[in-house]
Amino acid sequence: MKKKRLLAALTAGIMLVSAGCGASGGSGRETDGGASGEISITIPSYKTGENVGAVFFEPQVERFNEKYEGQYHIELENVTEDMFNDQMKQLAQQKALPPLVQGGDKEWLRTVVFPNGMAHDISGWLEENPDIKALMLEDGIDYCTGEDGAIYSVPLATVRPTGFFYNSALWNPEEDLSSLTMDEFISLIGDQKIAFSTAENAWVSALFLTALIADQEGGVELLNSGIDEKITDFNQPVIVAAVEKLQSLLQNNASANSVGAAYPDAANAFMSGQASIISNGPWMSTDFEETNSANWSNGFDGADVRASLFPGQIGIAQTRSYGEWWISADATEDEIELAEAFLEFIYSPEELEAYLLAEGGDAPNLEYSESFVSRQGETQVLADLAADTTEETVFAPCILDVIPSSVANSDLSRLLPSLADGTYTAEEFCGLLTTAAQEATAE
Amino acid sequence: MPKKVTKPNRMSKNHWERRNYKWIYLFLLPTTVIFLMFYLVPVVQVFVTSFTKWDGFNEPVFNGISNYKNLFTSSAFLISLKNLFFWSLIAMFFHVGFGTLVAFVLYQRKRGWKVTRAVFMIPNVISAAAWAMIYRFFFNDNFGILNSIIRMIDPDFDIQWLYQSPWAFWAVTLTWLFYAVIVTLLVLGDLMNIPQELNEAAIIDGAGGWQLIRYIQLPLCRSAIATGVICSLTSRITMYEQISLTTAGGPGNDTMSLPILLVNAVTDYRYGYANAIGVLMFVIGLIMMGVINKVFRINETDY
Repeated sequence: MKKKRLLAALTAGIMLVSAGCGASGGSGRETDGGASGEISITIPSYKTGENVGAVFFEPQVERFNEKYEGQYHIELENVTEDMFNDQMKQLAQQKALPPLVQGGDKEWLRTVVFPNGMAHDISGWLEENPDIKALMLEDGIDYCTGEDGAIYSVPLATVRPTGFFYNSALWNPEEDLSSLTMDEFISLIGDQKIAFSTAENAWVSALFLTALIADQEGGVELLNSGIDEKITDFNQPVIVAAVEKLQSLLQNNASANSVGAAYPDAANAFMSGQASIISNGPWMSTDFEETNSANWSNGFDGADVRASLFPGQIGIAQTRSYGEWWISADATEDEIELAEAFLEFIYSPEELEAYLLAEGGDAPNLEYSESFVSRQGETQVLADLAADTTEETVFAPCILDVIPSSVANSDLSRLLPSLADGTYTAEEFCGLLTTAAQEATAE
Repeated sequence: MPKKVTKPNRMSKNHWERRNYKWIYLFLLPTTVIFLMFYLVPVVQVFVTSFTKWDGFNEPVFNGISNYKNLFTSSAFLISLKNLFFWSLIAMFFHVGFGTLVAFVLYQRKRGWKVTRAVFMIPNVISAAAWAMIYRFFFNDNFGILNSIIRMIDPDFDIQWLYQSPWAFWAVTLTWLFYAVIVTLLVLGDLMNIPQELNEAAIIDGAGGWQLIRYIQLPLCRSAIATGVICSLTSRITMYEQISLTTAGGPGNDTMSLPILLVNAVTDYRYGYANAIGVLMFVIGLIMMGVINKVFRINETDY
């Protein structure tokens, strides 16, 4: 009888413990200050595995580990890009953020992380490293600096203006496209096909819409105003006029698969010759390298691709923005030491140049080496974008970053098909977006 | 001489129960803990925070019934309620009806009925997300099977099933309408449990095939059909993947649903508002279950 009771108690105990264990999750934080004296941390990153950003970032971390072998070591934990922001939020709720954090949802950083003291102030580190601070964009420093002078997010040193790519085998204009007006550009493309997307966050269409808004009088100012306070009124003439032009492009120039297309569908349309134009950031340049020719079809050749900023010398980029990295307030002194060493490493001129060569863009405050300039010219599309990026370039933030998240990620893509098929006029479309945005921000 | 009736020994039973109370409680404890942790506390939290403005991180701030007022003045919410109403009707009559019909066909146990049942099961082991992707291709305007077949007859045919009004609603409906294997299995189980004597007695009394179904078999699987209706309707309330991965609620708000609105609210850090939607989903579910219980008299026994 006693044995039975003991067995019963044991079983009940195991059930209880199992129930308890089920509730506890793993920590996202792992630090090892081993006997060897090496400081080691593990950080979740989406720029790993198959992610396009891994091509540059993983070797960069390896270079850091090699340089500081025996002193510092960073281990990367693979997190898919779609899940990354949510995982950071969950880790923050569990007070298990990694010592060094690779971004996260910017709205969450602005409204939750930084005001609640969840990040380490790096203003002192920046003062101690004036050479690094000198590389950073002034707008970025200004945006990242709080009222009390604290800086939590490492400001950007590079800007990667987004324009568009075109297949010169299908369409080869002689004009300098970025110096045209938008109307001249639209007239020049004639019946050329543009790869649009309307699914997910309608990324490619949103980029065009941004350029069309920025081209309007007061458009850039309107987009910039959304950085500090989200745009909720789409009935403004600037936006309505831009939407009218977008509707015309969707109806007359969209590639056949545009309605319902996600970004990969749009990219596929471009890389299969079904569209001669696609808008995307400079990071797409790797898709046009011979090593990725498996994704090409119908005679598409990456060597034929050229790039340009948008007409009106508009480059879609947000300079008033948080940077990619921040340090957790819970990081130990050793971890902060490692994190700062890593930041110094990636902000070194050599690493910045390597980054620009791999992913495109510009570091306005960096004096480029000769080898960088010559190597940049080897990648045609990056050279095109670099040539277009001048002091005259007008930077405008992407519309998706300056409207409420649910409108950017859901409403816009839900309404675009009806704009494309003419169910909605531009005014109706803007009215519906306004309603959605106001509902999304209702107190 | 009347037979002596033995009174049940209640004392000894109670005594036995008392002796084992501690074990009963001990074994109930894990379930109770799980219920409290994973059901009751979150449900209470959802109810309480639905009356607050809450970003999910900072302390919730009580804002009365603002979230509910905002909900009932939102056009997207009202359309999602309308969609839920129509999807519920379709589910009740066509989804459950089809599942029940298949169950009655299988009950005839014609040659190959087991294979048919297994084949009918297959869609159920494929995730809703995968089905949504399959249907995106099925309804694709350029290379989808549906339009390709229609264009054999009408080469100029051009409908974007998932992105054009009013087709999107019906296209999304088709992604779940005929996958009624749960209903089929429930009804088939009840049909198999009907005592053979009942069927035989009805046949001896002159009942034909239809009368046998109408007056004997259908009433006796009433509870299974009701359970099927509950499963089907609650699935409509919580339907997310099929919509999110096909139309995302569009075009416009044509296929909007409560879970899509809830997720959108979460992306805007409006957890109080999202939880108000959650509360309404909970309440709608309870009302539906109550009504179905009453209409189908689920708690009444047949045998």
